[in-house]
Amino acid sequence: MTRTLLIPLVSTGNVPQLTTDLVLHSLSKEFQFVKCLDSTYLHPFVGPLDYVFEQQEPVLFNKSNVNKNYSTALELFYNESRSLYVIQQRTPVIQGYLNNFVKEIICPLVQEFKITDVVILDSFGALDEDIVANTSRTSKTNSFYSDAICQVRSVGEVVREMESGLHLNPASEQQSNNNVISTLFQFTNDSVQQEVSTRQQAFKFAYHLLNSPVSELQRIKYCSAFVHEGDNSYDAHLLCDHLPNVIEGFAKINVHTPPISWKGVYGTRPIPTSFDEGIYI
Amino acid sequence: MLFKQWNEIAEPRHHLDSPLAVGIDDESLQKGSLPLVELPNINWNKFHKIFLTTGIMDPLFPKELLGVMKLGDIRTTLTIDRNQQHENGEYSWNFEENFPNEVNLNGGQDNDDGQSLTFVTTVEAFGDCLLVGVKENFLKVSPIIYNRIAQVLLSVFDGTHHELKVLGTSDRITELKSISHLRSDLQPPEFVTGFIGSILTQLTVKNIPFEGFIAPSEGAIGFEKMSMNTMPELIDICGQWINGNSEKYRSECYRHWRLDSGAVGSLSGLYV
Repeated sequence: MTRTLLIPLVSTGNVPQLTTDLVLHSLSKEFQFVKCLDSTYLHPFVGPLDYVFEQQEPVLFNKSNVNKNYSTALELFYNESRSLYVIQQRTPVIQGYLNNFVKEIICPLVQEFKITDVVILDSFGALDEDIVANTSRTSKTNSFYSDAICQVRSVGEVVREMESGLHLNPASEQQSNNNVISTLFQFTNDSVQQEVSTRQQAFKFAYHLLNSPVSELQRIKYCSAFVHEGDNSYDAHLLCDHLPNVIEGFAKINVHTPPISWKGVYGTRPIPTSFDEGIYI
Repeated sequence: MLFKQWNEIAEPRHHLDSPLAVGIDDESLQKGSLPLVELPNINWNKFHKIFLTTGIMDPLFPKELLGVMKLGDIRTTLTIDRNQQHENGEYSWNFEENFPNEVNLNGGQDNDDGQSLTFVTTVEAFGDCLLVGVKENFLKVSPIIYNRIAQVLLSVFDGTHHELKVLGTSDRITELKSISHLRSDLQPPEFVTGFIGSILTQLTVKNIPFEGFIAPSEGAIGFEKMSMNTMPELIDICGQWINGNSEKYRSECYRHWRLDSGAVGSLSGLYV
């Protein structure tokens, strides 16, 4: 039986997080809050519980018997009928601590819940130099998505793959940005990206997952959307519709219900009244 | 006149660079070292009320009037492994152009012999109250420091011996919001970040009773400004908490607020 863990990376336009919001709140009756994960390595965040407009109370958090009034930066949810664990991450990882985050928070979680499939959601835009420079978009594709899969096989194979793909020589790294792993993930033919750069967050996730004792893990899937930063709520709806292509057995969500926190995020937030001559507005 | 900063290329909004990442190799696959927090040697149980707040709330605790005494320092030390640093100094945080008064972190003379950075927070007391006011600064202090201080601090406080009071600010709200372990006035998409965000995370995760207020502010972390309308409300609340709700307390608070330039709109009297 597959048990999937969906991880949104904090990336361009916050599209993966918005998509996660859509998944959680559209299926809020199926999901239940599991626990707050350790958010030491993330920018601090505390906010109220999010909910859907028609609901009188935060349904997403009600089913677990936890007396909960606040959301923290990193939370875990579970959908039993779909065997799907979902992480919602609300703030970026503090610069310099991504390795700590993956090794100490994500890897133990994959082991604890005996996850077989890890799905990493990502997004990139024209300003993400690390990705754009390494994206050989030679094949003409109409797709905005990049789907890839990494089969977790024997440790020996993984080590060989890492050795052949990685050139951890600091001198050569500075000269070129072309540290591209083309064998780690197998991308579909119509993907925008055809390889993963070692500077991408997803690479560190894959590297540490493959190098840690996660006995049940079988696949690491990667799904990235090409977006332009701005009002990215529509991108999130599209990525949500794309999810059945990456998550095994995940039926398309017919009715998307964004949470109340989306209201006012893009341009319609009330202007603070505190200053007559707001210097920062 | 204050001008807005501008850049030729807008930085993607999910990038929140940390100043302490100076010299950190983005491509490294090694774990970063965590800051070490040393608490002062204080008998914490001697105090009943614990105020956890940030520098902007300093005027609410006038030192002479309340007889605030310094008890010690919380020293947070981050040792940076410079072995991984790029030799050509590719990463630099040179603020000299825009922030002439700021310390130049890595440009200019390379003082890399001192491989550790220390952040000091003073612990003060008056009566049976303990005051921890962290001086935030988004330019110099990495959020990992706040997270670690909050973790260590809340391992010595608990809800049974101590009454925890949290005073913070947020630029995501438009009016004063009451918060406690039982209920919160915050409505999505409002949230709290910075040191108070770290503190509230720990209180939530550890299920420790507390009460407090989040005031509306504007500006970057450590450089917030509050409106003059918020001040009287905060003074009322804080006055009740410390039983100092006298006219003298009120005027001292206002005076300090003006001295600290904590609020925009403060009058400077007859002088420019």
